[in-house]
Amino acid sequence: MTSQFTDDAELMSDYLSGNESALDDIIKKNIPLVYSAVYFMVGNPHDAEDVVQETFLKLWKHAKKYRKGESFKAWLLTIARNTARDFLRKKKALVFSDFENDDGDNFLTDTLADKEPLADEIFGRQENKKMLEDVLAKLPFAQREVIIMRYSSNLTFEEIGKIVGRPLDTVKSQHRRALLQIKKYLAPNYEV
Amino acid sequence: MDKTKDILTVAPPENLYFAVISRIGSEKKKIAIRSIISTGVVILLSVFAFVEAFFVMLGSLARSGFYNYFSLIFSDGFALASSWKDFVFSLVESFSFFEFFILLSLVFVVLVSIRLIVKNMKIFYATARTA
Repeated sequence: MTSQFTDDAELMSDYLSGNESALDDIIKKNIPLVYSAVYFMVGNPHDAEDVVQETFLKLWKHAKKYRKGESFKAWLLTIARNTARDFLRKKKALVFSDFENDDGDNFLTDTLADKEPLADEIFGRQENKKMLEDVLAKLPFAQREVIIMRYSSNLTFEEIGKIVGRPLDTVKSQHRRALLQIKKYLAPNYEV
Repeated sequence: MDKTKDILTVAPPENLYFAVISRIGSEKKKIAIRSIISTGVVILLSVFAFVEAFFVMLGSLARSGFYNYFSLIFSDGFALASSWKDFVFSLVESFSFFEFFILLSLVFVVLVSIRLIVKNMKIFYATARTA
Protein backbone atom coordinates (compact mmCIF):
# COMPACT_ATOMS: atom_id res chain seq x y z
CA MET A 1 0.00 0.00 0.00
CA THR A 2 1.45 3.33 -1.01
CA SER A 3 1.41 6.34 1.24
CA GLN A 4 -0.90 9.20 0.40
CA PHE A 5 2.13 11.45 0.24
CA THR A 6 4.20 9.31 -2.11
CA ASP A 7 5.56 11.38 -4.94
CA ASP A 8 3.72 10.98 -8.23
CA ALA A 9 6.96 10.44 -10.13
CA GLU A 10 7.80 7.57 -7.74
CA LEU A 11 4.36 6.10 -8.24
CA MET A 12 4.89 6.30 -12.00
CA SER A 13 8.19 4.43 -11.82
CA ASP A 14 6.48 1.89 -9.52
CA TYR A 15 3.79 1.42 -12.13
CA LEU A 16 6.28 1.17 -14.96
CA SER A 17 8.19 -1.50 -13.05
CA GLY A 18 5.05 -3.61 -12.91
CA ASN A 19 3.13 -2.51 -9.83
CA GLU A 20 -0.37 -2.18 -11.31
CA SER A 21 -1.90 -0.76 -8.14
CA ALA A 22 0.38 2.30 -8.37
CA LEU A 23 -1.74 3.48 -11.31
CA ASP A 24 -4.87 3.38 -9.12
CA ASP A 25 -3.07 5.55 -6.57
CA ILE A 26 -1.97 8.01 -9.26
CA ILE A 27 -5.53 8.29 -10.56
CA LYS A 28 -7.08 8.62 -7.10
CA LYS A 29 -4.57 11.29 -6.13
CA ASN A 30 -4.80 13.38 -9.29
CA ILE A 31 -8.50 13.27 -10.14
CA PRO A 32 -9.29 16.50 -8.22
CA LEU A 33 -6.45 18.40 -9.97
CA VAL A 34 -7.43 17.23 -13.45
CA TYR A 35 -11.16 17.59 -12.87
CA SER A 36 -10.88 21.20 -11.69
CA ALA A 37 -8.70 22.18 -14.63
CA VAL A 38 -10.83 20.38 -17.20
CA TYR A 39 -14.11 21.58 -15.69
CA PHE A 40 -13.26 25.21 -16.38
CA MET A 41 -11.78 24.40 -19.79
CA VAL A 42 -14.87 22.61 -21.14
CA GLY A 43 -17.43 24.48 -19.04
CA ASN A 44 -19.76 21.76 -17.80
CA PRO A 45 -19.56 18.79 -15.42
CA HIS A 46 -20.78 16.14 -17.86
CA ASP A 47 -18.19 16.95 -20.53
CA ALA A 48 -15.55 17.38 -17.81
CA GLU A 49 -16.15 13.79 -16.65
CA ASP A 50 -15.71 12.48 -20.21
CA VAL A 51 -12.50 14.45 -20.69
CA VAL A 52 -11.11 13.30 -17.32
CA GLN A 53 -11.77 9.66 -18.24
CA GLU A 54 -10.13 10.17 -21.63
CA THR A 55 -7.17 11.92 -19.96
CA PHE A 56 -6.45 9.03 -17.60
CA LEU A 57 -6.98 6.54 -20.40
CA LYS A 58 -4.27 8.37 -22.36
CA LEU A 59 -2.06 8.43 -19.25
CA TRP A 60 -2.40 4.64 -19.03
CA LYS A 61 -1.74 4.15 -22.75
CA HIS A 62 1.25 6.49 -22.90
CA ALA A 63 2.70 5.88 -19.41
CA LYS A 64 5.97 4.69 -20.96
CA LYS A 65 6.47 8.11 -22.55
CA TYR A 66 6.78 9.75 -19.12
CA ARG A 67 10.41 10.72 -18.54
CA LYS A 68 11.73 10.35 -15.02
CA GLY A 69 12.72 13.75 -13.68
CA GLU A 70 10.16 15.82 -15.56
CA SER A 71 7.26 17.35 -13.62
CA PHE A 72 4.50 14.78 -13.42
CA LYS A 73 1.88 17.44 -12.75
CA ALA A 74 2.89 19.37 -15.90
CA TRP A 75 2.95 16.15 -17.95
CA LEU A 76 -0.50 15.11 -16.75
CA LEU A 77 -1.95 18.58 -17.32
CA THR A 78 -0.48 18.61 -20.83
CA ILE A 79 -2.47 15.45 -21.58
CA ALA A 80 -5.58 16.94 -19.94
CA ARG A 81 -5.24 20.22 -21.80
CA ASN A 82 -4.75 18.54 -25.19
CA THR A 83 -7.66 16.20 -24.54
CA ALA A 84 -9.92 19.11 -23.56
CA ARG A 85 -8.83 21.07 -26.62
CA ASP A 86 -9.50 18.10 -28.94
CA PHE A 87 -12.87 17.58 -27.27
CA LEU A 88 -13.88 21.21 -27.77
CA ARG A 89 -12.61 21.13 -31.33
CA LYS A 90 -14.76 18.07 -32.07
CA LYS A 91 -17.73 19.81 -30.48
CA LYS A 92 -16.77 22.89 -32.47
CA ALA A 93 -16.90 24.80 -29.22
CA LEU A 94 -13.55 26.51 -29.66
CA VAL A 95 -14.90 29.90 -30.57
CA PHE A 96 -12.54 32.77 -31.16
CA SER A 97 -13.53 36.39 -31.45
CA ASP A 98 -12.98 38.34 -34.66
CA PHE A 99 -10.00 40.05 -33.12
CA GLU A 100 -8.25 36.92 -31.94
CA ASN A 101 -6.03 34.34 -33.48
CA ASP A 102 -5.87 30.65 -32.48
CA ASP A 103 -3.68 31.47 -29.48
CA GLY A 104 -6.12 34.01 -28.15
CA ASP A 105 -3.87 36.92 -29.05
CA ASN A 106 -5.95 40.03 -29.44
CA PHE A 107 -4.36 43.04 -31.04
CA LEU A 108 -6.86 45.40 -29.44
CA THR A 109 -6.23 44.39 -25.85
CA ASP A 110 -2.52 44.15 -26.55
CA THR A 111 -2.50 47.91 -26.82
CA LEU A 112 -4.28 48.49 -23.52
CA ALA A 113 -2.18 50.41 -21.07
CA ASP A 114 -4.10 49.19 -18.00
CA LYS A 115 -2.11 48.10 -15.02
CA GLU A 116 -2.29 44.33 -14.47
CA PRO A 117 -4.95 43.66 -11.86
CA LEU A 118 -4.28 41.19 -9.04
CA ALA A 119 -6.16 37.92 -9.32
CA ASP A 120 -7.23 38.01 -5.68
CA GLU A 121 -8.63 41.49 -6.20
CA ILE A 122 -10.86 40.11 -8.92
CA PHE A 123 -11.67 36.61 -7.74
CA GLY A 124 -11.61 37.44 -4.04
CA ARG A 125 -14.74 39.53 -4.28
CA GLN A 126 -16.71 36.92 -6.14
CA GLU A 127 -19.29 35.24 -3.96
CA ASN A 128 -21.14 33.89 -6.95
CA LYS A 129 -19.13 31.00 -8.35
CA LYS A 130 -21.57 30.45 -11.20
CA MET A 131 -21.11 34.00 -12.44
CA LEU A 132 -17.35 33.52 -12.46
CA GLU A 133 -17.73 30.28 -14.40
CA ASP A 134 -19.80 32.16 -16.99
CA VAL A 135 -17.16 34.86 -17.25
CA LEU A 136 -14.37 32.29 -17.67
CA ALA A 137 -16.40 30.57 -20.38
CA LYS A 138 -16.47 33.84 -22.31
CA LEU A 139 -12.67 34.00 -22.44
CA PRO A 140 -10.84 32.56 -25.45
CA PHE A 141 -9.55 29.05 -24.70
CA ALA A 142 -5.91 30.16 -24.74
CA GLN A 143 -6.50 32.76 -22.02
CA ARG A 144 -8.86 30.56 -20.03
CA GLU A 145 -6.34 27.72 -19.83
CA VAL A 146 -3.62 30.07 -18.61
CA ILE A 147 -5.85 31.37 -15.79
CA ILE A 148 -6.94 27.85 -14.80
CA MET A 149 -3.42 26.43 -14.78
CA ARG A 150 -2.07 29.43 -12.90
CA TYR A 151 -4.70 29.61 -10.15
CA SER A 152 -6.43 26.25 -10.05
CA SER A 153 -3.42 24.02 -10.74
CA ASN A 154 -0.88 26.36 -9.09
CA LEU A 155 1.62 26.19 -11.95
CA THR A 156 4.33 28.72 -12.70
CA PHE A 157 4.28 30.69 -15.96
CA GLU A 158 7.28 28.67 -17.15
CA GLU A 159 5.42 25.40 -16.56
CA ILE A 160 2.31 26.75 -18.28
CA GLY A 161 4.43 27.84 -21.24
CA LYS A 162 5.80 24.31 -21.59
CA ILE A 163 2.34 22.75 -21.37
CA VAL A 164 0.66 25.01 -23.90
CA GLY A 165 3.75 25.26 -26.10
CA ARG A 166 3.97 29.04 -26.10
CA PRO A 167 6.80 31.39 -25.08
CA LEU A 168 6.90 32.73 -21.54
CA ASP A 169 6.16 36.31 -22.60
CA THR A 170 3.09 35.22 -24.56
CA VAL A 171 1.78 33.30 -21.55
CA LYS A 172 2.34 36.29 -19.29
CA SER A 173 0.60 38.65 -21.66
CA GLN A 174 -2.30 36.22 -22.09
CA HIS A 175 -2.58 36.04 -18.32
CA ARG A 176 -2.65 39.82 -18.09
CA ARG A 177 -5.21 40.13 -20.87
CA ALA A 178 -7.40 37.45 -19.30
CA LEU A 179 -7.44 39.26 -15.96
CA LEU A 180 -8.32 42.53 -17.71
CA GLN A 181 -11.12 40.82 -19.62
CA ILE A 182 -12.51 39.26 -16.44
CA LYS A 183 -12.33 42.60 -14.71
CA LYS A 184 -14.18 44.17 -17.64
CA TYR A 185 -16.89 41.50 -17.66
CA LEU A 186 -17.44 41.81 -13.93
CA ALA A 187 -17.37 45.59 -13.88
CA PRO A 188 -21.17 46.08 -14.25
CA ASN A 189 -21.77 43.88 -11.21
CA TYR A 190 -18.93 44.91 -8.96
CA GLU A 191 -16.73 47.90 -8.49
CA VAL A 192 -13.43 46.15 -9.11
CA MET B 1 -3.98 33.42 -4.16
CA ASP B 2 -5.68 30.88 -1.84
CA LYS B 3 -9.08 32.49 -2.28
CA THR B 4 -8.62 32.41 -6.05
CA LYS B 5 -7.61 28.75 -5.87
CA ASP B 6 -10.68 27.97 -3.75
CA ILE B 7 -12.93 29.62 -6.30
CA LEU B 8 -11.26 27.84 -9.19
CA THR B 9 -11.44 24.42 -7.55
CA VAL B 10 -14.33 22.08 -8.19
CA ALA B 11 -14.70 18.78 -6.36
CA PRO B 12 -15.00 15.81 -8.74
CA PRO B 13 -18.08 13.59 -8.54
CA GLU B 14 -17.61 10.67 -6.14
CA ASN B 15 -18.05 8.01 -8.80
CA LEU B 16 -15.52 9.53 -11.20
CA TYR B 17 -12.61 7.45 -9.87
CA PHE B 18 -14.56 4.23 -10.48
CA ALA B 19 -15.65 5.48 -13.90
CA VAL B 20 -11.99 6.08 -14.84
CA ILE B 21 -10.89 2.67 -13.52
CA SER B 22 -13.70 0.91 -15.33
CA ARG B 23 -12.96 2.81 -18.58
CA ILE B 24 -9.32 1.70 -18.41
CA GLY B 25 -10.53 -1.83 -17.54
CA SER B 26 -12.80 -2.04 -20.56
CA GLU B 27 -10.00 -0.73 -22.80
CA LYS B 28 -7.66 -3.41 -21.38
CA LYS B 29 -10.36 -6.00 -22.05
CA LYS B 30 -10.79 -4.80 -25.65
CA ILE B 31 -7.05 -4.91 -26.28
CA ALA B 32 -6.84 -8.38 -24.65
CA ILE B 33 -9.67 -9.72 -26.86
CA ARG B 34 -8.04 -8.30 -30.00
CA SER B 35 -4.71 -9.79 -28.99
CA ILE B 36 -6.24 -13.21 -28.17
CA ILE B 37 -7.94 -13.34 -31.58
CA SER B 38 -4.86 -12.26 -33.55
CA THR B 39 -2.56 -14.57 -31.56
CA GLY B 40 -5.03 -17.43 -32.08
CA VAL B 41 -4.86 -16.86 -35.84
CA VAL B 42 -1.05 -16.82 -35.66
CA ILE B 43 -1.05 -20.15 -33.74
CA LEU B 44 -3.43 -21.73 -36.23
CA LEU B 45 -1.36 -20.61 -39.21
CA SER B 46 1.85 -21.70 -37.48
CA VAL B 47 0.45 -25.18 -36.81
CA PHE B 48 -0.56 -25.55 -40.47
CA ALA B 49 2.85 -24.28 -41.55
CA PHE B 50 4.53 -26.69 -39.09
CA VAL B 51 2.69 -29.72 -40.49
CA GLU B 52 3.55 -28.63 -44.05
CA ALA B 53 7.20 -27.93 -43.16
CA PHE B 54 7.43 -31.27 -41.32
CA PHE B 55 6.43 -33.23 -44.44
CA VAL B 56 8.72 -31.12 -46.61
CA MET B 57 11.56 -31.96 -44.22
CA LEU B 58 10.75 -35.69 -44.29
CA GLY B 59 10.82 -35.61 -48.11
CA SER B 60 14.07 -33.70 -48.13
CA LEU B 61 15.70 -36.17 -45.70
CA ALA B 62 14.56 -39.07 -47.87
CA ARG B 63 15.97 -37.47 -51.02
CA SER B 64 19.32 -36.66 -49.46
CA GLY B 65 19.84 -40.23 -48.23
CA PHE B 66 19.84 -39.25 -44.56
CA TYR B 67 17.72 -42.27 -43.57
CA ASN B 68 20.16 -44.64 -45.25
CA TYR B 69 23.12 -43.20 -43.37
CA PHE B 70 21.13 -43.11 -40.16
CA SER B 71 20.03 -46.75 -40.45
CA LEU B 72 23.71 -47.79 -40.38
CA ILE B 73 23.66 -47.12 -36.62
CA PHE B 74 21.46 -50.19 -36.19
CA SER B 75 23.39 -52.48 -38.59
CA ASP B 76 27.19 -52.42 -38.36
CA GLY B 77 28.40 -50.83 -35.14
CA PHE B 78 32.09 -51.85 -35.54
CA ALA B 79 32.39 -50.44 -39.07
CA LEU B 80 30.86 -47.20 -37.82
CA ALA B 81 33.25 -46.97 -34.89
CA SER B 82 36.24 -47.32 -37.19
CA SER B 83 35.10 -44.58 -39.59
CA TRP B 84 32.91 -42.50 -37.29
CA LYS B 85 34.26 -39.21 -38.69
CA ASP B 86 33.07 -40.05 -42.22
CA PHE B 87 29.78 -41.28 -40.81
CA VAL B 88 29.13 -38.04 -38.88
CA PHE B 89 30.15 -35.97 -41.89
CA SER B 90 27.69 -37.87 -44.13
CA LEU B 91 24.88 -37.44 -41.60
CA VAL B 92 25.54 -33.70 -41.31
CA GLU B 93 25.82 -33.30 -45.06
CA SER B 94 22.53 -35.08 -45.74
CA PHE B 95 20.60 -33.39 -42.93
CA SER B 96 18.06 -30.69 -44.01
CA PHE B 97 19.19 -27.83 -41.79
CA PHE B 98 17.14 -25.19 -43.54
CA GLU B 99 13.84 -27.11 -43.11
CA PHE B 100 14.82 -27.94 -39.53
CA PHE B 101 15.44 -24.26 -38.81
CA ILE B 102 12.00 -23.41 -40.23
CA LEU B 103 10.42 -26.06 -37.99
CA LEU B 104 12.20 -24.74 -34.91
CA SER B 105 11.15 -21.17 -35.74
CA LEU B 106 7.53 -22.27 -36.04
CA VAL B 107 7.71 -24.06 -32.69
CA PHE B 108 9.17 -20.89 -31.18
CA VAL B 109 6.36 -18.77 -32.67
CA VAL B 110 3.72 -21.15 -31.28
CA LEU B 111 5.28 -21.17 -27.81
CA VAL B 112 5.55 -17.36 -27.69
CA SER B 113 1.96 -17.06 -28.95
CA ILE B 114 0.68 -19.46 -26.30
CA ARG B 115 2.46 -17.43 -23.64
CA LEU B 116 0.86 -14.25 -25.01
CA ILE B 117 -2.59 -15.83 -25.07
CA VAL B 118 -2.27 -16.98 -21.47
CA LYS B 119 -1.16 -13.48 -20.43
CA ASN B 120 -4.10 -11.87 -22.26
CA MET B 121 -6.55 -14.43 -20.87
CA LYS B 122 -5.39 -13.44 -17.38
CA ILE B 123 -5.92 -9.74 -18.21
CA PHE B 124 -9.32 -10.53 -19.72
CA TYR B 125 -10.54 -12.43 -16.67
CA ALA B 126 -9.06 -9.90 -14.24
CA THR B 127 -10.82 -7.00 -16.00
CA ALA B 128 -14.04 -9.02 -16.34
CA ARG B 129 -14.03 -9.51 -12.55
CA THR B 130 -13.44 -5.80 -11.77
CA ALA B 131 -15.80 -4.46 -14.47
